[in-house]
Amino acid sequence: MAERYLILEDGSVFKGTAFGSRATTFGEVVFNTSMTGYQQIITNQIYHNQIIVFSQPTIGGAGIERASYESVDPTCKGVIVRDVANVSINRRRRLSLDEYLKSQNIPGITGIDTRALIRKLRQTGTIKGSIIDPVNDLEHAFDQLKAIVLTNQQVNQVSTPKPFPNPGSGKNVVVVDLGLKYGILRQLNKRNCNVTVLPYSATADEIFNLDPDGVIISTGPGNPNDLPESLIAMVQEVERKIPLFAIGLGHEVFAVANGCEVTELAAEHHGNNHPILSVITDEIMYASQGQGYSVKRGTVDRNELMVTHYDMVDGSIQGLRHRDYPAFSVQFFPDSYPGPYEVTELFDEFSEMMTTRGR
Amino acid sequence: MAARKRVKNILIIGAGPNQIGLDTEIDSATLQTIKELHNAGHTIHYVSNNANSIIADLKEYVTFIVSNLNVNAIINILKEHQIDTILPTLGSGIALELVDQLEDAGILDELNIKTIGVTTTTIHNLQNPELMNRVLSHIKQPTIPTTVVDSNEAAIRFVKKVGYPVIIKPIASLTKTNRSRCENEHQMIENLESSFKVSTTHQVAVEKSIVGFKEIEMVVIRDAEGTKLLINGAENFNPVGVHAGDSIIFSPTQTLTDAEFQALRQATFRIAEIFRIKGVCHVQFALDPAGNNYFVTRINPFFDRSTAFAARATGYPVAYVVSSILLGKNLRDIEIPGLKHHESLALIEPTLDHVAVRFPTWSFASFKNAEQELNTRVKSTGAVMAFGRSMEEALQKAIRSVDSTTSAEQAALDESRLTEAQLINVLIHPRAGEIFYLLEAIRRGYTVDELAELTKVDAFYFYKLQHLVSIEQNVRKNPFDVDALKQAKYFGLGDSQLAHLWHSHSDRVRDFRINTAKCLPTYKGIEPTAGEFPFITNIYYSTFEDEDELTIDDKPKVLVLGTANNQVGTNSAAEYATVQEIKALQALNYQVVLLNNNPNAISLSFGMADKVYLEPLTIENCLNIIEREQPEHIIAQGKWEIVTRLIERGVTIHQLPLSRTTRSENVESDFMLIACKYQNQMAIYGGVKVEGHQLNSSLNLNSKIKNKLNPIVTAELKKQDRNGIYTVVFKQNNEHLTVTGVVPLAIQDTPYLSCVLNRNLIVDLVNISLNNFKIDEVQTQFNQLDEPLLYNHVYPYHQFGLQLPQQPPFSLANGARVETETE
Amino acid sequence: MEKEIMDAMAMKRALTRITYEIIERNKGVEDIVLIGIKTRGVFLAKRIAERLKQLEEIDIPVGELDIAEYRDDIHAINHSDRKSNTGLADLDLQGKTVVLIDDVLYTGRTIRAAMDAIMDVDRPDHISLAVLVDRGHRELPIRADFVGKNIPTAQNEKINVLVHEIDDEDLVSLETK
Repeated sequence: MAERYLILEDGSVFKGTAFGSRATTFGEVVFNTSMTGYQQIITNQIYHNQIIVFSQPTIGGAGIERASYESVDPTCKGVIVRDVANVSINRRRRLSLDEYLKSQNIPGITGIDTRALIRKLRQTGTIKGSIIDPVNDLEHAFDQLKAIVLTNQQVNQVSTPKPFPNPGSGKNVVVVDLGLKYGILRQLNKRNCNVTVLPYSATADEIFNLDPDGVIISTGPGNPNDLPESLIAMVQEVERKIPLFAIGLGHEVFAVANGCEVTELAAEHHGNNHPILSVITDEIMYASQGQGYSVKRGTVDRNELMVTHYDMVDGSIQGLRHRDYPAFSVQFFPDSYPGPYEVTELFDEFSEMMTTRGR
Repeated sequence: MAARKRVKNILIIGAGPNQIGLDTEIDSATLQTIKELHNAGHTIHYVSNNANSIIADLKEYVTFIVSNLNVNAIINILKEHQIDTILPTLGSGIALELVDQLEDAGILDELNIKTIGVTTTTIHNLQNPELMNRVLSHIKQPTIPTTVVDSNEAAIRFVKKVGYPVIIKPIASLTKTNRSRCENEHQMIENLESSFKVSTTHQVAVEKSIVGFKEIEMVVIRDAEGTKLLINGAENFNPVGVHAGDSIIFSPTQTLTDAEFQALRQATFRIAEIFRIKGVCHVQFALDPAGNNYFVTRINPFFDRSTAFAARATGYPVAYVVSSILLGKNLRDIEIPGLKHHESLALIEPTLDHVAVRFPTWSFASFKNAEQELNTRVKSTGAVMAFGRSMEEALQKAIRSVDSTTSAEQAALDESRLTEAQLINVLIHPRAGEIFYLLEAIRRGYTVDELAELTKVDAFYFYKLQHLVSIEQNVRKNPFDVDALKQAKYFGLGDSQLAHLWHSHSDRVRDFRINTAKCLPTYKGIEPTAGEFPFITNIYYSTFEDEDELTIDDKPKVLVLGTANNQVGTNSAAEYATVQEIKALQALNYQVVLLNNNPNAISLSFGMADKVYLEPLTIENCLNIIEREQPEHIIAQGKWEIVTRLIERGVTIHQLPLSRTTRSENVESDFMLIACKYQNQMAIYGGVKVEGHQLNSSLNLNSKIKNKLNPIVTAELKKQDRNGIYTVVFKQNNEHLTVTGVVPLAIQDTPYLSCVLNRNLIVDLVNISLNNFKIDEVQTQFNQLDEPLLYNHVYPYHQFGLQLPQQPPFSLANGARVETETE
Repeated sequence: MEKEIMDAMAMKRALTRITYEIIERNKGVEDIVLIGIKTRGVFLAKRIAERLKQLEEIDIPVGELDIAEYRDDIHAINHSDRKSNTGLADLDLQGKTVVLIDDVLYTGRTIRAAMDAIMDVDRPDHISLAVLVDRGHRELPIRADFVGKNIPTAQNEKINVLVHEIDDEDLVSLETK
């Protein structure tokens, strides 16, 4: 039961116990209020360079399942919990959370007053933090933390370097990987799509050469404003010709490509309990969210785009659609790994859109 | 929408007396609903025969109608009161059944009466399992496969589809036959043979067995426009086979994967949609722990045990939001108090950053002959709940929450003396207090996987129990060690438990904890956003962590000690008294701080007390809270162990002169008077006739007798050394009166007596205790009611499969029925 | 035998997509008039109008067209009367873009009758056609601009469309006679 510290940029220190890897780690500390789905959250590449705090106090009770990875190579920088659970290895559960984090070299810290930490983060916004071994000289540790500059090349680090296929016999879909959640592939698989995943550097011509029925711009980590111009240009070209569905970071890129500004959120959304309004049907639904940025209200050109979804808690824009082309996007995760199922029908919408355009 | 709405004349059908399986969980929601409907201008009637109903006391909001709950009685009420609307969601299954019968008989059409909250079609569909299954199969929701066969071949064909194990049961059997579980074809054929023999129609029902599946409770709210909100998901510790009312239950779910949870969430939404619920609905599922399939096992479109737990566990004001929906508002337009800076807050799905546990309590100490094995028939007589920041902490607090009588029952069980065979027997056949046996099994070295295999309880829980045992061992090995203490406190052990393990006294442990280890509790708010939003809450629980969220103001306040789990004897009357105390104290301009932990408590209703500690009623917690709050007064109902022990520690407590023991059922009596004594003055409120075990409000005494009463009562009460309200029992022989007993007012009788005397006796007791009483205002009145009310106890014997004795002791009653003479 | 083709969710999605497509194909929706063919086409038209209102905050006129007297198997005696019975009398269609809406597109004869009725009343700039289901077997040169779902059918099959406004649920099913 080794002691470890969580230190934050603002000078606070939380003492806890180690689990997972014993590495020293730095990252932005963000909190997630989901009560289930920790495995999918930890393996989601949107948390690249981030340390995740779970508000649900006991994490690990469902073990690690082979069918619930959102990436094979998770790149979050740490996991903070109040209490980590142990599980038996059986047909469903091959690993415990502790073993899994060890195998992935991700440090965890347990025994933290996560409610206090979240109440703090709610006020400070996302700040840098570090999980370290106990030291006498905390000042030095804080200096190191302050000196750390986190990369803004997250997409470059998590996007696939090479194209890869995910074959099927139905619609031909190109997924542009900005830090892809596997949930997107699962949803396409369910609809029997023939998928090719391309790196984020793919050009419009490379995409056209594959003659897709539709294109998905995937989720991913970081700030859309740090992404290369070429990506924006690609989206601008593709949306005119091929049905397009952009998700998460992809949605932010789609918004930028169509003239919107995307800015940092004062309070990040990580969880699945915010009501989301679908404007066209006036229905309210819930979805898994993980966003630090948002399309700035008032920067949407109503001659180009329609706002299709809002977060009813803070009014933030959650969905856009082009007026002239079959192209739409959502900020939240419609693949529901993890999260409520009601939003997965957006993939049906995309699929039917491809069918209509194919005629 | 037009602002003018038609004023409705609403009848709420109650569920009847409290009994096993029916604590006060609905009353809390009823209370809030009535207030909201009344404030919206509607006229409300409430029908019940529950003598302890708190609703009887809400005269300014509602007409309380005493009546038995049968169709004919309800028809008369509908006609007499010109009811145009029935609200059937506050009367458990009883109200649904009555409404279905009314609909069947064409009464609702004839009188042009509508239901709100749930439609008559839905009620009809849910009352009939076959119809319910048809609707569910239409929306592709699986129910337990079942069929009726008349040959072995047909049974085998059916099992080929659904797989073993199955349960078979003869149809129309003349003898009392059990359901038998068959693991394979050989067993089934053997059982079929005997079953066909006893069936008069030569038919046998075959059902897929789901014993061992996880039992999950989901609670959803839906509004008129179809927006749905999942309030809570809770997981039973025991798998299917033990009634959910007898299982420890945790929220949030502890062992479900996201895919499992989301599948059940979606199923719950579909069910709420197809049944057009406008309000709350509880859906229970059986989830296969080894695969992805599940079955819908129960749909309750009304307030029940699970909706009450959902409200307490999450801090979400379920009844308030549901009343708003009944009044025609949609979720998006409802604002819930607490969150100030956002709109549409009723729509934020509750998410928890604590573990809440509901822990059943039994009264087997008083029913020694009852079968204590837990099965599909509920046996618990009450429950406590506890909060913690880990499952261990929540569970430990729940174990400590259990009242002294149940602990006594527990103390009788010295686990270490169990033989191996006895222990294994409990592991396979769970019984009341199972958790203590499981802990003992771990102490004896049973492994997690062995226990999971034997009990079908998820291994997750055994890792947690194992952790608790290891903490216990560490504590034992390290007496008065700061680190051992801190670890134990962090995972929920109480000072008294530490004292037991250290063979010391809890006061010494407390002193060591506070002064040497500097280990003090911190308090966290119970609110539904897990800290994401600034939520103003007044409900707290304790833990041992960094941040303390408690704010203390310096307004004059009174700490009210609640009465924890429902028990036989005082039963739900104790909750009635707590609620009245709160109201009486607020009327005196005190801030009321309540300490209580009954998940069904009415006193925990949203907006009732000014501040709530949802904490175990233990010496340790009481002292902690008293130290923090510094209340002007502390009020408790009568004498009980904790109160006595607090007083020993120098705490001043006003013990309302209420007796937690009941009147004696063996005293010869013809009538009894209720009288008070205050600062050497006496006054008589009135009296009731005693008819064997029954009380009757119609007491006719001639003037000669009446004139004798005052001097006798005065003389008797003079002998009593405390101020208070007393019951003076008389034996009458023509004009000769003998006093056969003088006892302080029993909690058990208080709701009925307050009703028939038309006087809130609890308010008087509070005023007597705080030296604020005006005895001159007490008027002696007999026979105040237009129609006499009869009072009888309700006992749990038949639910335990026991014969009701000739003279059941009042102290074993767990509810009371009131009726009019004409019934 | 009856087989479910579209459930409530699929119907909802189809109408949502048709609405977006109407916006995409028309620059601005100010000049659009929706005309639903009785009975179920009217409810579908109203739902599309609701969606347009949600998105664009504009009230699109919805006409309810009764083509009974324009059916080509009925020869009305009094031609001048029939146009007053269509239900379109109050609509101003001059210079408008009409989107004609029906539940099922089959032989095309209903649509032809509907166009006759519209042209009798007024002269819109443009008429397009939206249908929830296109089941094929056209007998006239008519094609839908917006299709919820293409369902290839045999002649002996029947498409049943239920709408919750009058049928209590939303459902499209295929019935084999």
